[in-house]
Amino acid sequence: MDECALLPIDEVSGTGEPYGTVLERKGSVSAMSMVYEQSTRVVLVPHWLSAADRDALATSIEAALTRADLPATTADRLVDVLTELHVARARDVVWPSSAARVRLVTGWDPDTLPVRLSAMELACTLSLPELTPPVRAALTGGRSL
Amino acid sequence: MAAPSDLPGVPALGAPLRLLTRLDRRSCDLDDVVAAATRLCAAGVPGLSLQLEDDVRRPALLVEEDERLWRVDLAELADELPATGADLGPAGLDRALREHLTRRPVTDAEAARRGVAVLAWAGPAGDDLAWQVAVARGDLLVGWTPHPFTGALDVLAVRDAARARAADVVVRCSVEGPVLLLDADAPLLATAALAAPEQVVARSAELGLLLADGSVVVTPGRPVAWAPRAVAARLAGEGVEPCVVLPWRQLADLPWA
Repeated sequence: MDECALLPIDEVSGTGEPYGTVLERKGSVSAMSMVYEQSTRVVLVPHWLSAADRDALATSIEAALTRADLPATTADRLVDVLTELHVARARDVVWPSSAARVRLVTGWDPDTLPVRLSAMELACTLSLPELTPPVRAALTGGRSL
Repeated sequence: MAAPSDLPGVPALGAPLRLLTRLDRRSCDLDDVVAAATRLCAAGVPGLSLQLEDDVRRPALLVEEDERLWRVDLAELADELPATGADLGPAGLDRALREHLTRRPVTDAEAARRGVAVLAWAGPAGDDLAWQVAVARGDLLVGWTPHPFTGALDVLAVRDAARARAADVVVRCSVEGPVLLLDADAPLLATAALAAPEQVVARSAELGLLLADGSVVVTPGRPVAWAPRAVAARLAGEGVEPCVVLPWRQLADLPWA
């Protein structure tokens, strides 16, 4: 019997064609494209949020984290989103050029930054009733489309 | 006979053709550069011995300082100068030549006197990190390569002194959530703080950050980010920019260029 057929599907796809080529072509991946994170095998998708959107997002998440009925797993993801908001700013300090290039082409405000969220982090964020409509719109439509 | 503007296609070409006259093709005459080099040799630069090699085809300026001899190909320089936007008049050329002299190789004596240890790209593909002794000249940072005849002990002494001096470089710390950002006035000097990582860990503890088992994200010429391991992986996970993520305890083990 072919040994390859015994491998779990995840392991095959991890070293196989689609992901393998993406990793090799790292240099040519544009700032708008999705990112394949090797360690956790999670795709982080950029959501371009303005400073006001990011502040409102942080405020709603902090408000949600004080709730007693929030599931612990959701809370973990929300903490990751808060971390990402800081990391997005740090990333712009260390490597400003790629986001600046996107802003130059699209004409977005200089305070617009790519906030990279996994599908789970985005789902947990969108599940919050505290989320204000403008932030929800920014995460699901507009620049995030 | 039809007027030129009646011919098909010609009016359409009019606008691009007018652009041709607006193209500013600056060029630098080799004779002007040689003249500037002659003036520079006559005026002299303290500490340097200048000599013009007046070969008709490849004129060159020989710069001698201590054990280093540097040959500046004036024809190449004349080719490069228009692109830098420098003033190509006599005074501008004199200034450009003097500025070009700041790129001369670093002598052993200068490296021993004021070399600073920084991280730079190294390796055959240029994507490995290595420590490098560098000397700041104006806003330029020039790397030092040991002279072939320099003794191994002298090289080690210069490197140790550069590492000690790097700890004194003024580096700005800023905190972004769990991330510590290190930046210096000259971008290439930001990595100098990593020569004494224990100092940074102690300082970050005062700022309320727990970086004792964190990782550093290093891009030579850009600010250094220092964060807990998972956050550092997230920060650099984008992969578009060349960078190296490594645990800070491995910084001291990086090779010398």
